[in-house]
Amino acid sequence: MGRPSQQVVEFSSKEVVLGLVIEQPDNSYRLGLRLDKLLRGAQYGRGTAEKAAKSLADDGFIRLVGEEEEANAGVYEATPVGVAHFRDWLRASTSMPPVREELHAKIALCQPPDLPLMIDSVKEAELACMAELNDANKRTRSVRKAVGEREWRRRMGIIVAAGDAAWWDGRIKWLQNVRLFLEKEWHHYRAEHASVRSG
Amino acid sequence: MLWVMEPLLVLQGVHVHYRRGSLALRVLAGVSLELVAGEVVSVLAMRGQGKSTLLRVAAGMQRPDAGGVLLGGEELWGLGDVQRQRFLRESVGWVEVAAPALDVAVLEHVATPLLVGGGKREAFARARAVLERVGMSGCGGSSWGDLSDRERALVAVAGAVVRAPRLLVVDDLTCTLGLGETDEVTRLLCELSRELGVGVLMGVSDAGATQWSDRFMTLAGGELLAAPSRTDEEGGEVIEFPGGRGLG
Repeated sequence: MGRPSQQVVEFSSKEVVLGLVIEQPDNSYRLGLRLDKLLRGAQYGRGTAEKAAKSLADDGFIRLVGEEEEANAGVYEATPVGVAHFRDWLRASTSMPPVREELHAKIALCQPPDLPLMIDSVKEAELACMAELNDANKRTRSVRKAVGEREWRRRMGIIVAAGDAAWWDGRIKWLQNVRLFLEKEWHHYRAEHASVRSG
Repeated sequence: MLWVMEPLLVLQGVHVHYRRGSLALRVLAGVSLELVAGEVVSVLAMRGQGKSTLLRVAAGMQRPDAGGVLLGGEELWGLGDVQRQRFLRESVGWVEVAAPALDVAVLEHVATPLLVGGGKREAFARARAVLERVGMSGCGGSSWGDLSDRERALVAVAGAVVRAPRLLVVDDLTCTLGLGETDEVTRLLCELSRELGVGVLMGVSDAGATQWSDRFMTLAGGELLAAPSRTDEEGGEVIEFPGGRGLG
């Protein structure tokens, strides 16, 4: 039984910093402050934004601008390749249980026209979590059958199984809430868009 | 050889909406599901997502705005009112923790559905046997008010299976129960489904209550999602057929 199987999902701060640069060109110090403000729960270490910016520049996704002018010293802007890479990341589906911060970052940095893709992405994450719960249930039943009627093990097994279920329960319900919220936002956006066009 | 069981319950593209002033609340938006005899399917949903509506529709207690509800191959809303009521009384057991209308002892409460058109002695004997099966044989003389939440849940199960229905529809039976009691009650439902060949559709608000179900689904925003699976019961890998039931 044990803990729920946690698959490792690749998520770095790079794409988030790239998204911040696309949103507004900035230097690495201010990018660090904005990153912390955007994803406070992620608890990034100091210097994360600076390292990410250097790596993004090495990849050709961002570049320094205005080196000659004092006011813009060290300010990064996104390259067209960087913008394309960010859009790909934003729209990439989630086939594994999501890292909370990654989904938060995508939602925080998306634009209204991206909402249908975000909704699909959240639904895929829901299904991934449901598959994990389904498999956890099967493991539990299998172990409980093997344990048979050994009372102490059975009783302790109930607690462990309930812990697994509660873990996935929380994630599934959080994702459902996110999806319902995004669907409402998309509905409002379309209604406003339609009224602007007809007006 | 491939055996495919005929579904006991089929919901086809079921739509339900409620009016709230000028607003139309979409509760079920084209929901479909199938359930075979001897199978336990749970529907996991947060409050206010239409779980009870779905269960009432499945139990023939509420007519959907659109879509089909077939029980044992019979389209429920194609039957006349009297015929449908009789068919549902014989086929569906509704399970919820609700105080009985009459303040009678547990044994009499469980036996009551059998007293209509049946002998008193047989009815009480059957009720006694069912109470014993659910582990409540010692509570036949108690009144509802004296029972714990766990005991009420078990009596509710007994009251529904006493007429030997083909389908049990269970509305959030475990929402007031602790870990051990939830495990006990959901395991019992699973065992009864196997023993009696009864299909069980169970609405739950906590994933812990899905543990003994053969399959579970979630309901949110009017949409029912079926849980995919990566492994079979022994932990081996399976290939999921989208939208289909596992065959084999």
